[in-house]
Amino acid sequence: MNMLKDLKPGKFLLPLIASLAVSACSSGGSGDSSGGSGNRSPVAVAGADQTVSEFAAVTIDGGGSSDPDAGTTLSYAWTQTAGAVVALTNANTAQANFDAPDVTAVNTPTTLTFRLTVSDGTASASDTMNVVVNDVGLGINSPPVANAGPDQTRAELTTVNLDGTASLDPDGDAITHAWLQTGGPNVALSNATVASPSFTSPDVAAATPEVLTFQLTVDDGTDFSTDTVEITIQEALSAVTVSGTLEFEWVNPNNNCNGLNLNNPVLKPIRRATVELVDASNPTVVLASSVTGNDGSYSFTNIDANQDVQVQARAVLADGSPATWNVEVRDNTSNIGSPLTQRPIYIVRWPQFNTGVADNSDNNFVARTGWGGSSYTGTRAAAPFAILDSILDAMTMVTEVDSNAVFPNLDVYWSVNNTLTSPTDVDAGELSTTFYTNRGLYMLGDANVDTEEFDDHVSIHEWGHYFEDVFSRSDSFGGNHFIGDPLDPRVAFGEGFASALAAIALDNPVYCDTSGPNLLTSGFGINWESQNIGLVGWFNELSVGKLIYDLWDTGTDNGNDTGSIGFGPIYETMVGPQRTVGSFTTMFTFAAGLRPMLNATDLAFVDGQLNRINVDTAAGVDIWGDSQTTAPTNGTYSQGRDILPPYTELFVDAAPVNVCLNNDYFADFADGDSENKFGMFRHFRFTTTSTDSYTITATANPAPTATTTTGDDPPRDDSDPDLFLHRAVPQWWFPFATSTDDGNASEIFTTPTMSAGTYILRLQEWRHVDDSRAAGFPSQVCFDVSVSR
Amino acid sequence: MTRMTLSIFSALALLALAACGDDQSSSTTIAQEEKAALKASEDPYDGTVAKPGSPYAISYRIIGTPIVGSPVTVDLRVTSALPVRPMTLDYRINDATSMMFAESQPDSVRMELAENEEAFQQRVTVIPQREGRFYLNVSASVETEDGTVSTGMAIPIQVGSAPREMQEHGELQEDENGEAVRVLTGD
Repeated sequence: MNMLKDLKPGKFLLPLIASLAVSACSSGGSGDSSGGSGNRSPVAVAGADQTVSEFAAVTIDGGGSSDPDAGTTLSYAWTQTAGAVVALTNANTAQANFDAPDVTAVNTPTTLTFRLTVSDGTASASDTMNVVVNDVGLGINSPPVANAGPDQTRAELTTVNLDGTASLDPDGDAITHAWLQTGGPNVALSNATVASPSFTSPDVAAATPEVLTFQLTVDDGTDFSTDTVEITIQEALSAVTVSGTLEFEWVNPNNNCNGLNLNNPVLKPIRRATVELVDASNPTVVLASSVTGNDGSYSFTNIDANQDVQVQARAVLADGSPATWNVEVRDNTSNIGSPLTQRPIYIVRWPQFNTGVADNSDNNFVARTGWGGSSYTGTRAAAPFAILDSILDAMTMVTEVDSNAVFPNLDVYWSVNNTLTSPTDVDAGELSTTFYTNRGLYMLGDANVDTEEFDDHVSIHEWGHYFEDVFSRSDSFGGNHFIGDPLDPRVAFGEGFASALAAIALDNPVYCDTSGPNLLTSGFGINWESQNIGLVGWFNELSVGKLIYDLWDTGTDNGNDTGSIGFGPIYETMVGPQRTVGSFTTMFTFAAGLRPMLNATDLAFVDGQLNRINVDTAAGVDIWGDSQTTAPTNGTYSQGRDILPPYTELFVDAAPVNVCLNNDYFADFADGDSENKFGMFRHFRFTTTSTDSYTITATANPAPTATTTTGDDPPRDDSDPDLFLHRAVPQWWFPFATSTDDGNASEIFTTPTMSAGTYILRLQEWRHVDDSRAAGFPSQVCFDVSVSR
Repeated sequence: MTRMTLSIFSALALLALAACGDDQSSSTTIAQEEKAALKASEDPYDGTVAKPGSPYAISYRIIGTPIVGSPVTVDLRVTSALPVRPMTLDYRINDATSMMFAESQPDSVRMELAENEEAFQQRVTVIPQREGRFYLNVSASVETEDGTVSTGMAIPIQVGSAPREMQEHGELQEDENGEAVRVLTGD
């Protein structure tokens, strides 16, 4: 799988100048593909692509594979990765064999793809090749498939068309059609041997409809099949019911998240969307409005007969009165100047038709992807509904455990112009990435760079941030994050929770993020259940996501995950104690909120899962993480130091406390966005008992040796601590006061007047954060920190 | 809550502007501005909650001020969170009337890192054909035993002051309430 299972331990760069990429990377992981020093990787050669006939005996030859290390014996493993499944023999030798499958005129040519993996026992390499199989007229005849079309209801004395055009022959043989009336008043078919004959419907009495039955037989000269259809004839009406089904084309990712399977979309119902019937001559006139069902069905009653109309679907989920939810997909790149929440909503409008004089229920429509085989060539009408469908999955997950849940408005901003660049300019369609902020979800759509509409995990991940925002609380301040990064625990929890939510809602732990410009092949994936990347702990979003997913899922992880508490307790924790907790929202607050809700059996299971991600539970779990006594290390990274306790407690007017922090992240990863990385800061807590101003002092001790950076004016490479003060009001995540940067090694911070209560202090060393820091500045700096009144 | 910007992004916003602005002509100038920008944004609380990052970080620097008819050099640097493997960089210009590659500029480069290198570095040269805001699309991909792992980004090339030309998708209309809607055609 194209999963990020083998992230390397380090070496990431400093952004050159105007950076910007998708993220500042990082992360840890396993080994090098060469398998260790001295050994060189083998070279896999799967051989040239082949073109063969159906039923041919085929040999695929990996004998050209080699190993640069003399005397090495290679092992071979052939697997099929695409196409009609064939039975491989000798799959563990250089030359494997199979018989080409039967190919019909309809599906010729068929391409089979094979992957060869060669290994020298330490390192491995892979290569793929294709075998194209052509139809040569062999094989067993497949009988034709008769399709007499959908049942219809039509008015008396009108022309009725039968429709057998969907009949087919799997072999591509020519077929004949034969229609026979088998029930109801006799009518005269225009031509009983064509695919679509017509007839004039008989006169029927009021309130006494007649049912006419027809049988269609199709014959390919060897075999035949039949199908029947019922046509109900009723008296002409002045008002009719117009109904049908709306669907959109959904695209699944390819195996291993290698792009999207755009050439094989599947139809899904447009669920719970606003559907309207409009006057075809003036589509601004809405004749009727409704909401599609979970099967995409819709129905408009009492519609004037014999008028030209169109059905349109708005990219809006707005059920109930008042609405339980209101999610709208808008184009952020149009109507610049108007507020974002007034940017155009997407509408898909289908071709006009006449309402006729009888109820008609076959007005079925599809919103297409617009994919033309190798690029987008048509309107990407499916996209807004694909996004809504993913979000509906997430909202449904919530309503299944809380039927009274009410979802505040959410706007999704998607456009074919939304490209991946930086800095973000929403009006111009320039997004640094797909992101959520302030009840707006901004999604990439530029087919030349990155599209998100069919990346359902990405959609729900961002929706997960919305969930935290409006149902719970997140103190995450975001920033770049790559899977496996050691993060500020607030960021790690928010990101891990959001990804777990997606995995739960979709009942699929594999996060796929496909991208362009090769939409058919590009992307990457992460398995939230089975992958461990980086240092495992409460500061790793993958650890957090894995924990929450494992609490929910019923998989056993090879015996390590033998229970499930379902989504209910997770939800109750998030909307309950996590929302009001008196410290930063982290894995500790989640665990502290969840554990008291559980019975003994579930508590033991949950504690076991917490232990798997290195969260200590022997002494319970409290919101500050005071119970955490072990700092995980895995021998690869050095981020294990300077992380405990999660909060150092200070006491007003007490002696200074000496704590250390470090820039090990830079040392290991040497790049990017550091402010949200673990070790780059320390958190403190203190409680005041009276309303007053306080003085917070942070002094480097021992003071690091000053270094000099050429070009700095004035020189600023001595220690430079920064202090950020947090409290519950107005909100935890944003500091309500920060120290004035003076560039000195001792920061003396006089706070605003503060009421009695508990406060969180964040300390960072600017020299560690600063990308242009001097190379000689020490990786670890310690400070004496105190609070006085 | 959720706020913030990818802090490095915002930190470098000034840089990016400089990279596209009239005054940017040398790396020395950029480096100094970078320091100022980073310090100015030392408060990390400014953001947005983003999706997990891809395994690659693509950085770029535009050398000089893009003008019609003159070659513009873009320095690229790509780092990988994956084990070091050969990487392919593909360059694409969507609209041939906006920019073209310099004559000697390949549109795809396959690279390997030397032992002492931390990042893939490449220089790309394009020639603006008219004024506007265009994009050099860059994708970085690595073949692994499980397929291609890749990511991309669009590097904005601002030529003059004209804004970006948006791709039209569907038709902008008004609904029954006079509100703007974007109508897409179904079948």
